[in-house]
Amino acid sequence: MFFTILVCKILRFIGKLFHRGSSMPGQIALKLSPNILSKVKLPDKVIAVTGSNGKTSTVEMIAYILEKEGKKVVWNREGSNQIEGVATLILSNCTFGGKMKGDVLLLESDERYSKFTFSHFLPTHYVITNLYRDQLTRNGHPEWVFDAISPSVTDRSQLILNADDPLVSLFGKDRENVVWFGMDKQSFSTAENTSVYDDGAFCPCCKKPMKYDYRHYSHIGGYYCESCGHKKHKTDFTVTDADLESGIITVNGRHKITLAFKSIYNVYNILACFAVCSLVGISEEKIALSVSDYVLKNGRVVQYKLGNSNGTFLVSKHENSISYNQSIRYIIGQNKPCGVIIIVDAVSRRYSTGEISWLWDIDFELLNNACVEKIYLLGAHCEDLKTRLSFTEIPEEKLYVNPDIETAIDEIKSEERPLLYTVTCFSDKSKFLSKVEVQE
Amino acid sequence: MKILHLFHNLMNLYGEYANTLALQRELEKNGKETVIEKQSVGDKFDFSSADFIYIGSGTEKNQKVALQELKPFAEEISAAMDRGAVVLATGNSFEMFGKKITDKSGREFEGLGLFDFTVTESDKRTVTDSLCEFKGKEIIGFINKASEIFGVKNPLFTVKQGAGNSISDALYEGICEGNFYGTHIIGPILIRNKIIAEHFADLLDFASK
Repeated sequence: MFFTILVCKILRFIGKLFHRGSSMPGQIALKLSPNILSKVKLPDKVIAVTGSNGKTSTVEMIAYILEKEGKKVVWNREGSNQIEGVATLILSNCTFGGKMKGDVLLLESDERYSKFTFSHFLPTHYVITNLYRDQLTRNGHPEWVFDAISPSVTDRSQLILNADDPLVSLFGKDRENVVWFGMDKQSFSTAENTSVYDDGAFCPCCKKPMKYDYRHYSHIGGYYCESCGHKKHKTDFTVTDADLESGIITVNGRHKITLAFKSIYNVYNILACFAVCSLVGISEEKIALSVSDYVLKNGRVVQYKLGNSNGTFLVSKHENSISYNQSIRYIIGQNKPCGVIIIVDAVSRRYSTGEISWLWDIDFELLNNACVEKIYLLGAHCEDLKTRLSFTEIPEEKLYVNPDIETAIDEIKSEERPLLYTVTCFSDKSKFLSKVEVQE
Repeated sequence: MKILHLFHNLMNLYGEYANTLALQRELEKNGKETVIEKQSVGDKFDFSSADFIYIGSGTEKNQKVALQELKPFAEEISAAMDRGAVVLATGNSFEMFGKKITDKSGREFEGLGLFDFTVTESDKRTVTDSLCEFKGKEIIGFINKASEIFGVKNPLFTVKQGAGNSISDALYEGICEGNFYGTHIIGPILIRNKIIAEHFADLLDFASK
């Protein structure tokens, strides 16, 4: 063990000097000593967060609050969330005797790799945020991901589940040791599905048609199946009131939290974080105070200037319609005259693919709104975007289409629109941000 | 013209609904007013007035639900094709029309039995960009499946790159028998390949004369 830990630490040190990724040292450590993660003495609290969306943001907020309360938190802030990255994190924070330093180990865990990571050790607190259509080129579909996560779910972890997601809730079926979080019906909740596809039409348990009392968005809401009885569980941590216009939510009927980013999706991340922090012993008053107005540092929202235009860059995951919908809904929610730049150049930063069927799952129709004055479609897939938008009611005159991001940015700059939004993925992020003035 | 979109809310992965929109646009360009009718679980299926029947991709579980629902109507679908209706089933929906599907646990599901092929699901997914040939022209798309299809006599495409019906039958993809078209290629295929949308529009044009 000593040797493996030493190798891992040295490799991590060298890797940092050369700004290399953090998965290689762990990968080598696991080769040298495949069971090392089961031998290491971990802290009493091991918190894991998995699911399709919101992992990184949720983990960042948990770390912030716990550290503020004086806990030493070891966490994968670089988002290396597969077993190799987790091994690097744990081993480089170990004594040579194999005892991990810190009060809390906090892990963002890739939903497909959780079963490998948690075959060596189990989280004490295990959050599953949601299951959406995400990177289907590698994930297949949400039920496939459900099956992939299943082996890592055991009675020996305190499960913390999103009660509003019918598929995630299945993890808690017939289990007792589950803490549920969710949101009560709000003024913005709808009776019907409002998205182009509906993953809540059928019960994930018995596959009979499912009903909803209300939906917050997509298949997230208050569902019930008359056939098998699968339904939204009573919640332990609840957003009892959410006013997205003023940006204030109330948790458990008494804790007011102000939102730095007024989006319903962000509300769920805050709620999951609230639940975890409360369960590990932080007072709810302190959590509410700390998380209020918290601005995420993970670079998912970036302010920029382009000539005389002010812009907001909203990182939205390609191959993830709900992530795009989140950005689009945010833009529409601001309701200010603006131009919207959508860039789809490289679908993924991990693999090369021309798979663009996910464009058809995004609610682009929402952009048919008076406040959106112009829509710029850029990158290698600009024509695919144009085709997609041609099946909405958005007038063609509002569209600008250009495969070349650089020349397009010059033209957008010359138009001097006061307000811009940019919607694109990590894989295309720097192609835009390197051409504008990023505001700290 | 009437496009019947079956299981629009059950077999609804990968934006496949857009195939019906692409065909509608193509038909309307040719001056044919076209309606898209959606029928799914709980509806009374009516194939009698459909000119085109479409089913898209679903999860492996949802495919079994759709298969169960469609079972009593195998003959009606056959009859619809006999009178000229065209059927397009994309993704794993076309697997329902064979003899049997064996799931990854080994459980067998009897298919609709319109064709002789069999399907074996596994816990490995085949995911690949796809390049095929159809009537001498290139077809692009993507395959995202957890199954292999054996015993297809008349495939739809010749594979140039990507995956075929099975590892042992890697050069051919999909099935084309009479008015039945099946393929695992998603895209949506009619959106990304205008020539296929045109092919179906021509077929329907011919059938209506």
